[in-house]
Amino acid sequence: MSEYTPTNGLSPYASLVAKSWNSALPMTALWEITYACNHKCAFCYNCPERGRRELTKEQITDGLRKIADLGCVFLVLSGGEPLTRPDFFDIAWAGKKLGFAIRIYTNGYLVDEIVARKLKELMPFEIEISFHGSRAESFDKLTGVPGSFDRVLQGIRNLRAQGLKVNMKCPITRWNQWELREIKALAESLGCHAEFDAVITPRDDGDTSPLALQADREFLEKLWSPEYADITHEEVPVPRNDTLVQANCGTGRSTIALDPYGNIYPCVQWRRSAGLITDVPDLRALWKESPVLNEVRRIALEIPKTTLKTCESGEFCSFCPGVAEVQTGDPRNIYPQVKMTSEIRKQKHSDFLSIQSKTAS
Amino acid sequence: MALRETIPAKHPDAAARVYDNEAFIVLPHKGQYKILNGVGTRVWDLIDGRRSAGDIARLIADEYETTFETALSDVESFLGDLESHGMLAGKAE
Repeated sequence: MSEYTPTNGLSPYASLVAKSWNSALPMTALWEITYACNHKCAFCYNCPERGRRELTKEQITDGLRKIADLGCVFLVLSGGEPLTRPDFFDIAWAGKKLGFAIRIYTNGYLVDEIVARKLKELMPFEIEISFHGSRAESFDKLTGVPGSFDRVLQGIRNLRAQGLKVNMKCPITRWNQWELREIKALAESLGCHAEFDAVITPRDDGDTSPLALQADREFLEKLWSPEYADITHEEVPVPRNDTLVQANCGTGRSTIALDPYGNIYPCVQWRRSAGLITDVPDLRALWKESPVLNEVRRIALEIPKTTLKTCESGEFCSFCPGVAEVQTGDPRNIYPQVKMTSEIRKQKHSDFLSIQSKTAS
Repeated sequence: MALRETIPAKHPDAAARVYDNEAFIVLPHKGQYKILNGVGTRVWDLIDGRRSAGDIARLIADEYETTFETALSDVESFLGDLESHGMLAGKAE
């Protein structure tokens, strides 16, 4: 009667996630509750619409009721910088009272001791802080805000002093690519976990200028070699395993995303609006019947059998149809950065097999 | 007081949803999550801060066609597991 015992060889959580993907049972709602931000990150993908009003606290709370009814357990409050909203805690507590486990994506800039104490009372499941460098020079250059490194670092210390779990999320760029170990060491010294992500995306309006900040090829070749296994958690790049789930990704399945205006998206990366949360009387019905969401799901199912099959290094592609659409106009098209990264990963995989085979003989 | 008279309540920070008859329970205060099987999910569902362990066992015995004694023993053991994992607020009298 106690805990679930897996019968299919998967951990119970992996099994649940697979079920979420395969049956389109959304576990997470990610809501960008504002586009306001006190950082000016060079690679930010957000595109606020000038003059358009963001939803009020009351409208968001009403939307949260609909999302709770949809069955999501995690509520991610994101932005912009969510803590810039004066009513942030009202919104977060509304989510908490509706039974969500709250995750907060913040830059940590506004987390003084008072905010840290209020966050402790809220007891979020997780706080993720964007972290951009091991020193002020690179960090402040990426955020565009002098002094942000020191202030964010203090914010993290304030959260840790309250015993809160903090993940430091580091987008890898060519400005910080050689600092990852120092960032990891800094995170560990603060009692935090550091996560690194080499994916930089275009802006939501298709502007590809952030891509100029991508880590360079020389670095990426090192990143996916055993030398960086402590950062990537893999000795060698492994091919995709598409046996567990049929779709390319969880878009329109595991997560529902919303922007500050109430647009409902299948994913934070794929901005095809299925409607406005304020206009939707029955979110369950929309989630099931929306032509937009069903189209997105169908495409995500096709990709492993089409796009990835025709790509030479398709089995090493971490392919995002949302990025493909914004960048190439078609969610099925391979885009330059995924082509490069999958080629490197495939090559590193082959190198590893070749060394193994030589060692064996 | 007998265990069967204790009234379990869910931890106020626990967030739970049921997916395909399995409760997924997130414990922010522990930084963990747990997944319950079908019967465990039903027991979790019945924990409302008003029913006693005996009340819950009676309902389980009826629904799963087992004896009250067997259900009570299982429910008490299960509640002990939930408590040890920090999923309960504590047992009120």
